[in-house]
Amino acid sequence: MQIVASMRPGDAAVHAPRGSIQIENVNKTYRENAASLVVALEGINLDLPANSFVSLLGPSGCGKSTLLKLIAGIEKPSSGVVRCTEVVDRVNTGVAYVPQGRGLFPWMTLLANVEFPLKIAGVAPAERRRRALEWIAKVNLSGFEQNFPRQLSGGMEKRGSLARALVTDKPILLMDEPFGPLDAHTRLSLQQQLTQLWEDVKNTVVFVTHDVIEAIALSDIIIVMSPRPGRIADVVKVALPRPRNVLSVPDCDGFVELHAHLQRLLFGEHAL
Amino acid sequence: MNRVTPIIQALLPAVVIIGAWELGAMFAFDPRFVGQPSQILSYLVAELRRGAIWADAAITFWEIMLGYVLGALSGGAVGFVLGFRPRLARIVEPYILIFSAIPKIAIAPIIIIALGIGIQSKVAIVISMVFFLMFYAVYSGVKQIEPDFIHQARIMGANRAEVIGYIVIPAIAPNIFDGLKTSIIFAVIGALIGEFIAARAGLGYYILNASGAFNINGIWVGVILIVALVFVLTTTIGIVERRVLRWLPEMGAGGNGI
Repeated sequence: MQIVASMRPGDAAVHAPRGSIQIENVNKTYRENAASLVVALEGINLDLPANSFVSLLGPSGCGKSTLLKLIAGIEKPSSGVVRCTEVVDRVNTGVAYVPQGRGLFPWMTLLANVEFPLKIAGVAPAERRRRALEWIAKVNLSGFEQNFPRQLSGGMEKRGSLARALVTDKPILLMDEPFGPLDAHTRLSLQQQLTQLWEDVKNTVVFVTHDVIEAIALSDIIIVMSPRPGRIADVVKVALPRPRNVLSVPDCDGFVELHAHLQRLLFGEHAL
Repeated sequence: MNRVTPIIQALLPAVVIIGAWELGAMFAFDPRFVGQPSQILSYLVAELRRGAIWADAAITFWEIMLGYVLGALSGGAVGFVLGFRPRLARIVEPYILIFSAIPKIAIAPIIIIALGIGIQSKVAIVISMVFFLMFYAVYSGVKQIEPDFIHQARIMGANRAEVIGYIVIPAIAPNIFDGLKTSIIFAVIGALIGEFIAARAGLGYYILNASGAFNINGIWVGVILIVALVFVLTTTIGIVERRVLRWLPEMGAGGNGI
């Protein structure tokens, strides 16, 4: 009944909705060598609502990838708490993770890659084959099921990586600069495909990028971060309508002001 | 024609070399000192018919195979564990370096004194050569694994055994095969060293006897059988490798042979 009364500070989020992420007073320091500590993240507090597309925007060294790794549970905060429905104190199997760089396991075919998380989860072979093929079709890779990643282009491999991340229906999807190394055309096309897939799935996405326009085009919320030490500079809501077309986002009302605001946060008043 | 051409290309250098050797032995130098292909061939056929050499070949084969398998398994296992235990590795690695630096030829007599002149001492010498090659192959492979691959698998919910089976082993498979391929020739050398020092059978023993009797053809017959053994082992591993590593870019068309 009056459970709230007995709660310690911070426990209020225990019954937070599936897919929401709370980050409370998180600090992260690395020991660079015997003499010096590097402060990667300092005093991070965030409450990310479920089913929203959130971008972590900032220059390199602002700790945005580190923050993503804390949510994934593959690194631990030096102090503070990360919570995805429950406190994240070990590898977080409640998320799907698309890392930087080449995503798929090179020794498995595309089909084996997309089936892999289902196989680990103990899904029966026929069922996981069906779901994998469905997602391979959704990312327009039908016909390439038996290809190894080396036989796919960078953009195709990223789409395969996305299919593998979405096939398990996890409430949270973490993406670490997934489109960074791709050429501009492939990038735009993947941004549009991601937007369409996400508007269909509507899980929580945390998307790391250093590209201002990419952040605006994809996100509902942009967390702007500043470097050394990594801090949150601002939290900006993107009120652009959905469904979105990433190509026409720059023509939307409010884009210019939003873009200018983010540029100022990233580069300072007098820069550029 | 297109299927025959590469075979001709492959055999042409051998034909030229052996032909030159044969002609040289007829006209230029004394075949008693370097041998003559036609005589070596007829001696080989005679020895294979007589049959005693098969027993020598079998003994050397088993010395190599036992030492190779045991050395590869133990070296690979130690490399695997140390690859994941950097703190333990920092303590153990200098010792492994020192032991690997010991010339095996120098300690082979000690091994033979300790284990006798039978097959055990030869197997031990082969192990001492293969162990370090496989150790370094697997150890460096494990250290080079992309951490993201392991993270991804764990986020997907893979337990330790699944991470090892589905991620780590496939990721280091190229290193394992490299180690296995370089180890073959060293395994053969190890077995021969042992047989040269003290043995009652084996191809090394056969070669030693032939050279003691100034039997040039006998030496060459022993060498031919050893080369054949290396060829069979290397080809077998090459076939398995191409099958297992077909996901590697360099394993595509025109990939590396043996």
